[in-house]
Amino acid sequence: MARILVKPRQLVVPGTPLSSGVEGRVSPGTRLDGDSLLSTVVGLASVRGGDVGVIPLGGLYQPSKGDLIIGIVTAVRGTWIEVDIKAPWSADLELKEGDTRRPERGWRKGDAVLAAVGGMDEEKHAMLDIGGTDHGPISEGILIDIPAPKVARLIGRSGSMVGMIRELTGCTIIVGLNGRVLIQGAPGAQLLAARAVGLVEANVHTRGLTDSVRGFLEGARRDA
Amino acid sequence: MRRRAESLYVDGRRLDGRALDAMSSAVAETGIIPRVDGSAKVERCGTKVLVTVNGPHEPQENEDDLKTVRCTIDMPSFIGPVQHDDLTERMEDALSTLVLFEDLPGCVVDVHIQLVASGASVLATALTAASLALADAGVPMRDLVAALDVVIIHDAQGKRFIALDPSEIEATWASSTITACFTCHGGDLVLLFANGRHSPVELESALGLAARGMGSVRDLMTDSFLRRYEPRGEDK
Repeated sequence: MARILVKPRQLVVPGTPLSSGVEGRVSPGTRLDGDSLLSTVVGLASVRGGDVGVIPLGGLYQPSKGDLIIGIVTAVRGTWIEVDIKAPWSADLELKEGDTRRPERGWRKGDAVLAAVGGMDEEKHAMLDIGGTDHGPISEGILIDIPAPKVARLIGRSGSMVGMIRELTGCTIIVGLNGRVLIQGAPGAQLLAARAVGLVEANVHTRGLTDSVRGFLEGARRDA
Repeated sequence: MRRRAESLYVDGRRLDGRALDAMSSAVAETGIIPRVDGSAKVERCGTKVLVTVNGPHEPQENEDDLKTVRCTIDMPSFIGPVQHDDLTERMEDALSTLVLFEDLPGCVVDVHIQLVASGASVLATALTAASLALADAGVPMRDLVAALDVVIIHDAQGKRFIALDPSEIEATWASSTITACFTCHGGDLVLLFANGRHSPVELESALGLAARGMGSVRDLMTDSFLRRYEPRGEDK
């Protein structure tokens, strides 16, 4: 029986003991030393039943199959393009003949692309897939970078946070799990939504965040 | 030199009023520089170090360096001589044992150290700051590391005293300086650098003193994150 050594939402740093008497698999952000579960990153302890995990407060994106991501083209190499997905490893998108999902002028360095992670090789290089609905080159809107571990808070429980920002700004907001956020809408509304995203990013570790963001957006609408 | 060494420790107190096993005041901050993956600043014993981390990332195609942690150091010209190569090599050795590269296949981490002021404990302060900056970058690590110096000083009567976390003047007149770097939670020694003359017994005493001071460095490091991420508001 595992003994839990941290409180829910307690700040942990690399090496902090989370629980003892642990067996089996461990979640990301943790490691086993004997039967002690230790944190490997700075984050908040998450305690659910007998399971302890860590919600990281920073760090890079670790790709996983099926993730929706927003990438930036870093090189065009004939039959494939190299894409920066904010992971330690670059990702590749294979170009197929007759593919209509490409910019009219062809792919260029700096283009943004909405894609899914189709799979990964042994060295964690992701293979991207733009076959899904709305996937492909991004031609309008603004892109904001936030740390990938903060994406979960921006999305909120069942999409509540991002849904509220969408509703109160009237913008289309697509959150890439790699920490890139696409905002499309009227210019003023885009900036308001971007400020709301910035507010979430800066206060990701605080409680009552949904209410503060709602208050900010409603206040901004009243002042407008 | 003997007269000076004698006056460094009077009536059981050091010149700055500390006991031999007391740490000096120190400051640590994290996340102070935007547009880098991680950053930290540590000030201690007249030394001020700013560290930035970029990565983990894949090395460029033309880079054939096999190191996984790559340290570079910058220092203004007015700072006195610091053994530059030694410093970066020792830091690379210590830090590469901490980062969990098995989770980061084919990746390297760049650590840039900016020495802003050079007093005592340069290597220890730089290691502490680098450990914080790596954690700030979200690099998966076994543990944080706490590094500190212990000096052995011989006085005019031939007696010796061993002092933790030396001031600049104590470091200047020390017959031996020992830098010890421990993992913060596990207490494992990851780096030991001894410079000067000392007996095995003196080294053992110095290490014991360093181990006792480690808790205070660990608290300093943990507090730097606590201050930054201090919870605000109530559950709704």
